[in-house]
Amino acid sequence: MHQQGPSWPSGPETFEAMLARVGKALDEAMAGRRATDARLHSGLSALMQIQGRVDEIDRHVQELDRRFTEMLAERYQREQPDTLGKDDLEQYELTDKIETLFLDIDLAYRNAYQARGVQQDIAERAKALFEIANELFGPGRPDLSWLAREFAGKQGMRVLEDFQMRALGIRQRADQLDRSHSFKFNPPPDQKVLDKNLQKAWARCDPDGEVAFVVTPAYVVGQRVYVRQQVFTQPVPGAPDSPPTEHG
Amino acid sequence: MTGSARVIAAIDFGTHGTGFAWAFTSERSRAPGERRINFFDDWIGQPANYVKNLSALLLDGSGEVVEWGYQAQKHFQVESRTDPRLKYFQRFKMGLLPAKDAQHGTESPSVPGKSPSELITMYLANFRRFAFDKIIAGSSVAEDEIVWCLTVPAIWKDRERQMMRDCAVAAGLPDDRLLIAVEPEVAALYCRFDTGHASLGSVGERFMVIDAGGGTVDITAYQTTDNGLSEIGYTSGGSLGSTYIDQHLIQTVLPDRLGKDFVSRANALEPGALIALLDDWERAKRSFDVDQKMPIILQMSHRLFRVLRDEDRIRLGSRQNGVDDAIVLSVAEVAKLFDHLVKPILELVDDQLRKIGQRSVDRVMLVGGFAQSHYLQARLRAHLSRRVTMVVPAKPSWAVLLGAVHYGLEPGLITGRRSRFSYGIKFAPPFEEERDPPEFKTVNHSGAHLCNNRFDQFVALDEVVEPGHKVIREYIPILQTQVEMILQLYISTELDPRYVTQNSCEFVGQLTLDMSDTATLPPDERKVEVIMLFGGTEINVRARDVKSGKDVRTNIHFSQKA
Repeated sequence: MHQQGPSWPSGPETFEAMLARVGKALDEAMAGRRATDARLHSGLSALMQIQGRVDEIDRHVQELDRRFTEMLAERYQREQPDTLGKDDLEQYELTDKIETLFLDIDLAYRNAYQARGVQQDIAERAKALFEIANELFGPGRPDLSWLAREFAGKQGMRVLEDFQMRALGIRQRADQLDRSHSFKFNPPPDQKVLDKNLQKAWARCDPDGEVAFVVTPAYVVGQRVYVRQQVFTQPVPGAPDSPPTEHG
Repeated sequence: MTGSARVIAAIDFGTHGTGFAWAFTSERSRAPGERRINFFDDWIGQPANYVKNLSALLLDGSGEVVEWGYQAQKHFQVESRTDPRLKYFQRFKMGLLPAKDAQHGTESPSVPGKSPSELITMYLANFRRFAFDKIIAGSSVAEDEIVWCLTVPAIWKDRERQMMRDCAVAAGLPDDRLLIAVEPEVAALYCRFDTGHASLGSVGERFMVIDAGGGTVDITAYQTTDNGLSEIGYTSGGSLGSTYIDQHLIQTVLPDRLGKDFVSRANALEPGALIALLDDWERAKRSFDVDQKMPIILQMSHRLFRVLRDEDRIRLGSRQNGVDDAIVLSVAEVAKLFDHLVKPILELVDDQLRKIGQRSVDRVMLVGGFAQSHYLQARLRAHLSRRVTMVVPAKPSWAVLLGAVHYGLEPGLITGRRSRFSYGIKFAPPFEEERDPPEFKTVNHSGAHLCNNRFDQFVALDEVVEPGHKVIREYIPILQTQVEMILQLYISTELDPRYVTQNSCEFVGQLTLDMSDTATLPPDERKVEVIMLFGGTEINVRARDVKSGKDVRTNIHFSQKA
């Protein structure tokens, strides 16, 4: 292999001449080194420039990707307005309060009757519950003063006040959460059997029985049914335990 | 893992119910409280709109899934009278927890005929398909652009977490795009970043999280840091979730009120009739309060009412002021049912405060489905009143689900986790005469005496570990002729135990590294590098033959104590 670099002199040479020659060769080598360095440096900086460009493109791609995701998100929000969001979750707390209130009213009402020693038919009980629910969640301010006869005495009045306050609280909260809500008392027209998406049989009524009347309302927001209507049904003829009767 | 994803989808797989929530990854740029997180609440067969479907399965005679969720319950109620081969399963999640770990006298429910893992896999497979269809409808994302985040209770050990991952992967969730999130941890993220709770906004705030769910109650504590949260608590908890109150209702109250054989007769005559009663009970449990005056009423459905004999009705009516078509539970009765769980929960909270020590916490945050219980809230508030303020953040039931989405979007928000065990490997260092038991003495290739069964600790119990924390150790084979190295992994409830045979140590799995390529080299040149990567919610262990570069699988199957 051919070797580059300084070679040894063929004849005698003065030390100075040799020094000069070696110095020159060194200068040439250094120049060569600098040129190589410069080429390397320029190559490196070109490489770094390319790397920089690649990084820039990467960032650009990432930004485009992020924008694309953002656009998908915007489109989703636009095209799916009925999607349940975080704020809607509070509706479920209201759901519990509504269901508990109806159960408490029913028990208080039958206890009030029991205390007076009056036997009450289950259909009458259901109708009374409907009247109370309608008063509390129908149009107008809740007023249960007409129940004073059933809920006699201070304790009875306190119970009624408690129901009114609870109903008022529920209505106010429902307004705050979504003004488009409704307490639906009306059954679907000409209904014979339960619409199980909107309704359920009240108490021990037969879910397969014929729909008679709505006892408590559904709580509906948009397409969402948070509380189903409770419906009084007529027993299926021939079915066991028909018609439902009061015992005890 | 989440970098290139377009959607983060979280699944809160609960003992009673399971829900999912998801967000586009572009939501990262918003403040957590402002993020748009989407939910689904329109399950087929649901009694009313609700974010969670039932964690329930209906299987046919050959063990195939007939229905899942509310549909399973509904189908069972209708068809079980005519098809006795149908099997209805609920609460199978807690079956993953070994009975010995179910604390305070409660036990995980056993499931006849199917293992909990099989049931979980079946359920998650159906749930995943459904959630996936709902997410892609309208969002235009592809399957591989979704990163899933599945929540697990904090009291679950690595074994249960690994089993949960295995179930999830078998159910079709992608192993490489699946985060396992710890429930109280993500709930803490929700409390800190989403609720807008001003007191948790400043760095250095310390708070305890009590995540009270359907199956478990998990307790731990965190401190707010510059970048997120660091764990300062000592995870504790037990099978103290609200569904265990149901067991007491069924085992004590119903027989007392309706006759000893009522539950078995109801299950035989009208399988599924009790389900509606328990749904009512679910609501009643949440509303029940410590200063409640009204009793709790559980309406009897038409089907359940038909199971009652005349004498049952008369007895019921006479016990309940004439009410014979509903179960009326007095305030004292219900309080007693709650106290089975509330008392041990209070003890756990005290224990946690004691362990955290003098610096204590500034606040206690109560989250989870059971956190909605007014009774639990009131009892905890009264119990803690002189020591620390208890707060129930907005939407406590959804803290885990919402927090899991935030975690999926920014896993780095958890800046430190406290190690619940000492983690180590069984190894054989030089034998110490007078100290090591003679039966552990062994001899290596050069005739030197070594001590077998020693525990080489990688991370210490209670050490706070940052995400990505890596510990590397090197080992060499004991014998010249060894063609493989078996690395046995142990955990310990003790700090730096000496031997793996101590009672505090538990074998959790092993790696077998093939070293046949280097069999001709002297043992000192046959180094094996073991790397444990901590800090995520799971621990990755890798072993590598330094000379040959051969790697063993990182998938460790955690098993029970050998």
